[in-house]
Amino acid sequence: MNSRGLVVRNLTAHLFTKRGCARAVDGISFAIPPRKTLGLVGESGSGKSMACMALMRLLPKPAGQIVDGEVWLDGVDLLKLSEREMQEIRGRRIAMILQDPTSSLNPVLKIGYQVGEPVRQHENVRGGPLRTRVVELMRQVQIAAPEDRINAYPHQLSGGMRQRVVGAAALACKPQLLIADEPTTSLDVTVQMHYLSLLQELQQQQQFGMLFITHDIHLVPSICDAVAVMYAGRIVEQGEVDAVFKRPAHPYTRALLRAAPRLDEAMESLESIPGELPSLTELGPGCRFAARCSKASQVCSDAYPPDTGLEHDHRVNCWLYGQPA
Amino acid sequence: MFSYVARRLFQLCITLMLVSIVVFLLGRLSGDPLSLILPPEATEQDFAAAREQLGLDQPLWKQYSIFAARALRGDLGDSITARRPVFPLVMERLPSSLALAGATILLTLLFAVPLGVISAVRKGSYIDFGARLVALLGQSVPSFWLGLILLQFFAVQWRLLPFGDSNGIGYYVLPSITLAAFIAAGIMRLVRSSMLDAMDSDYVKFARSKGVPEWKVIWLHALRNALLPVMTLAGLYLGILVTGAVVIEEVFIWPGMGRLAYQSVVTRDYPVVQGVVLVTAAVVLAANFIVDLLYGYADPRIRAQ
Ligand SMILES: Nc1ncnc2c1ncn2[C@@H]1O[C@H](COP(=O)(O)OP(=O)(O)OP(=O)(O)O)[C@@H](O)[C@H]1O
Ligand SMILES: [Mg+2]
Repeated sequence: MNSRGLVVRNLTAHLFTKRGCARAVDGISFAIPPRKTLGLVGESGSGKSMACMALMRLLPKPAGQIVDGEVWLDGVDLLKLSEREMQEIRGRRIAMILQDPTSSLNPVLKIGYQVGEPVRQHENVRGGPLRTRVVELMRQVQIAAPEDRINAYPHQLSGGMRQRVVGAAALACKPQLLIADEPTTSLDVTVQMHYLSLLQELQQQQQFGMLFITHDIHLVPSICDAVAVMYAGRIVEQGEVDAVFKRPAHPYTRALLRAAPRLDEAMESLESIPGELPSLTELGPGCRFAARCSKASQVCSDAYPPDTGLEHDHRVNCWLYGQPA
Repeated sequence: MFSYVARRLFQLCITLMLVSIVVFLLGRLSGDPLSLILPPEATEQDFAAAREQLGLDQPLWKQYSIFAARALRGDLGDSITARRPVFPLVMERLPSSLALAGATILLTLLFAVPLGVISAVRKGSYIDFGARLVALLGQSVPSFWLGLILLQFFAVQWRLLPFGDSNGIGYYVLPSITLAAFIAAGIMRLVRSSMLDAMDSDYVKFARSKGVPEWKVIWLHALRNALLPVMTLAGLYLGILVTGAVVIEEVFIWPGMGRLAYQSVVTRDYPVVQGVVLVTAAVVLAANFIVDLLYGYADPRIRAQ
């Protein structure tokens, strides 16, 4: 495995709960070449956050476990590293912005400390030089008067500012990959747009690759190079943004695209697809979307559709395209 | 921060005043004090004279203001049994009571906090199970009984530890363990549950995603937050420490205020009871004030208000 960037193969992570084993991430494969952005879309509960946590090897303990797969970063399989080696990767090579950035900051620690933490940890910088670095990082995310703000606590900042601080902390050690898990869901629309353009600007400057997660597929074209559509723990379609948006193949992707492009009420818009996500603990052998799919036939619920290549790298898992074996 | 301190200080003064009013009224309501002071064969005239001399013929509020003014000067009247001023009598018992309270708090912090943290981090392990079992016992066993058992075995039968005085570390072991059992158990359980919450929070996930090592995630990121509710509980437990001390000091013949309180209640020495209650209230309020200050220091959201 010598390719650069991130290559994920058959990543499988299960949650062993009292109610049974939830197959939250069930054999997903994708790649993010250096400096590229992959959008991961899917409705709430489809396993997007669990996929991120699995990549970082930070699944909730003891329920969450990676049971299969490979996660290659520049030719190194992260799943084979020791916990200590993995800790060196986190924050330095791969960083993450959590789904709700406003609660990602520790309420009792100063902003400056929290932004500088990766630098302190990975580059062993302390004192004055660390301070200078933190001020610079905060200026980069357009925090006004960063010299004063480093001594502030999270509750003293607005939601938008807190989120930019989270961004500053994540990018502190210039990681090559940023996982942004629905970074704007908890913000109102104008602040969202501002944050997204800031994120893109930073990506231009620092040239990091990005896994951009959203349940709003309409955000994807402006930010991503490629897109993967996730449904109930599996990626059902992926490819270049152009290809997928011009010729969506999977009925689920089509339904997502038909849904009203509303930033703030993306959740509601999904109601246009009747039915709901199957329980991840009781999945049958067939296509997980079959129960809600208008084009479903008998084969759909009997067997999982094969991975079918359309033009270029556009791939889909749907019996409309593959031949029954 | 300043206004926070000022507000707390103001609250402290008001509370202390209320306590003194209650103490004063209890002293008056518990019967005519003259019947305790004057001999049984005293006449009506003797009573009237004494009443005037002691100011008992004055209106109640005036009597209180005299009582309060004296109390502020450290004059709490005379003990009936010891025939000595109450204030020095109480104050000479204060240091050993404070020392016992200090030892108990130290013991609590030393055991309850680390055990609670480990219990939470190793949720479901044997350590967790054991710690929770011990905590459950600590909270359900009456402390005087625990005290008697410890005394019987460690001091009387095996003669491992001394008792009956307070001069030497050995004397502190049994009473402070006895007093700490209930408090430490409660603190441990709260540390455990609030650590579980904290470890599940987004800021802990984010700290991990930055590459912060797990020990720092636990002992800095999570514990700093988990200790906030614990501090509130610790403030409440100060009162339990005081009432618990009354019994425990009696059990271990500890020369502190608790034992003094117990004995003066038994001998109906009301001035001493009043003195002990007032001084104890002042100490507990001061300790609570310190806890409040620490809380304000620990939680920046409070400090800002
Ligand atoms: N700590 C946990 N323990 C057990 N199950 C969990 C836990 N967190 C999430 N799950 C389950 O895992 C599944 C996938 O959840 P996940 O958070 O990855 O979805 P998501 O695609 O990120 O959704 P959203 O858009 O709401 O963030 C869900 O069925 C959820 O109920
Ligand atoms: Mg999510």
